[in-house]
Amino acid sequence: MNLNSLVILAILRNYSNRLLLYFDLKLLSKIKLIELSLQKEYDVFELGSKLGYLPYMIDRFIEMLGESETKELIKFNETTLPQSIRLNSLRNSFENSERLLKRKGIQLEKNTEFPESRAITKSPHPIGATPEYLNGFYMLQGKNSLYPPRILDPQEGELIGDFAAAPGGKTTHLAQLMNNKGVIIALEISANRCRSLKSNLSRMGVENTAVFQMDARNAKDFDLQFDKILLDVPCSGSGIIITDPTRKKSKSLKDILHYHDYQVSLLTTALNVLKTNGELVYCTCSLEPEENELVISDILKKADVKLSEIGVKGKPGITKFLDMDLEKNLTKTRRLYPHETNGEGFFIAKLVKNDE
Amino acid sequence: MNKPTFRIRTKEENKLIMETLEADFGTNVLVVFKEYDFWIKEGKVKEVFTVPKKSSDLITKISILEPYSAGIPIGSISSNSFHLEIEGANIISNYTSKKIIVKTVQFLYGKPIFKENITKYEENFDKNDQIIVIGENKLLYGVGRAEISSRELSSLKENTIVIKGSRKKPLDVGWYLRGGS
Ligand SMILES: C[S@@+](CC[C@H](N)C(=O)[O-])C[C@H]1O[C@@H](n2cnc3c(N)ncnc32)[C@H](O)[C@@H]1O
Repeated sequence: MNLNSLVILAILRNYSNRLLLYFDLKLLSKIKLIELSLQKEYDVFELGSKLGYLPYMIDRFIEMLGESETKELIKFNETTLPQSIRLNSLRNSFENSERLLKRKGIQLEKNTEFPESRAITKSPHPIGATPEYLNGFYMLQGKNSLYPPRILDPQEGELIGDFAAAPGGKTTHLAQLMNNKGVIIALEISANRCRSLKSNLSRMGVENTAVFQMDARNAKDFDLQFDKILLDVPCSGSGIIITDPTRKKSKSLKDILHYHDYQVSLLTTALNVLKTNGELVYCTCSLEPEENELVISDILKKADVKLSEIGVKGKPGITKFLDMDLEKNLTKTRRLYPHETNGEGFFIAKLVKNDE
Repeated sequence: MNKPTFRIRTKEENKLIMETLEADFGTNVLVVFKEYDFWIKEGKVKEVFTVPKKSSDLITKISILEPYSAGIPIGSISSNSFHLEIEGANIISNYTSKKIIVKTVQFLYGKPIFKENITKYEENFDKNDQIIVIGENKLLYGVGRAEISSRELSSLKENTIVIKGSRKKPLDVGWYLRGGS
């Protein structure tokens, strides 16, 4: 704790609540964290409760990560992620876009893994309102969101399904990787979210995508067999508390079980319309095993598919949780924890459909 | 069965779109639509999409499900005229010199372009012509219709409106911030 933060803290505490209204929730959490670190070293449950988590969540994090890493995770969730963007080669070369942004005083840092990814280290402008943004030269996107499309690795001539598509961060990335060739069928159930999907597709210059507003569980109505499918399912979001602190309290265990059933049914349908030897990438921004390994485990029992290795850093999928012993090959899936990756939390699995 | 609201263009619509593009932006722009079909979304106005042949063939085949959208929206048809919109302008902008370069970003807020905002124009234009609007930074700002002809420009006051803006229509890229879709 340095003197500066002590002074800021003192000022904030002495001013009226009106002043605090000007600060967002995030800052308040940070102040809480500074306050906490001034006092005795809390145990993980006390810290969890001070930071506003429902107790059941802390129990589960400990089951997944142990006490000391749980502390790291929930402390990390009080910080802010570096802003990041994906440069869009459908609109401009990476070099040109980079040059234009640098000219505006926006500082970018390359990501060693993906040539299209950049962290914003400094920006004098709101990065989501520049004429370059409006011309579709880049997408605002957390750096870990680039993994699922990259792992799916769509090819130019293929028929790709994106079965939970809005607002289209990943659809537009898939189109970029396909160089606007082949076809993407993007499904989205919500009319409102279809609007933002359409808007992002146009802004980013995506030509090869047809959007259908429908329940992806009816995908068999297409009478098509997809080469590859991306399934970025709706989830409880416990991996992105860092961007949505309300999630500390907003979901119950019952909600998580409800998501599980929904995710299994979406994945079951998607596999039914996947070609033999076709590949499917399943992902969530949740850390809950019920939405992740347990979904895959259910599917491995009933569908003729196998898990594929996905050479990505991060922790292997969990095979023991509470009193459950899961298939050993679930270690082929990956968990990207926020505190380990300095990015959004993700779970990613790649399934391949076997020969009949 | 209900009439589809997302359907391939009729012959007449195709003719209207191609003839308008050619008349306003020159023959060169037609080549960019060679490997594409136009599709129409019926609504208050008819939205026009340009769809690559491969996607077009596929969605034609999937006749029992109707797309929400496909390809890129390029403009709209109303009162029997075709009006180019942002992404249509983006697609053809390298194939036409029907452009004005402006020194203001006001157009991105749906505001008009005044005579004093114009840095230069690459080709003469007539009243009611469609013109692509580019910033001095060479970035696309949008498209609009001329309120006056370029021949009249020299005799008019600096605050004369040359192109009207619109907050409600997808004519400038600021539309994407106004929740446009
Ligand atoms: C996690 S978000 C997808 C984010 C998106 N892939 C991206 O990268 O921008 C999940 C989306 O699935 C949609 N959804 C939920 N249930 C669905 C269903 N049964 N069929 C299709 N879409 C569904 C939600 O409305 C939501 O937009």
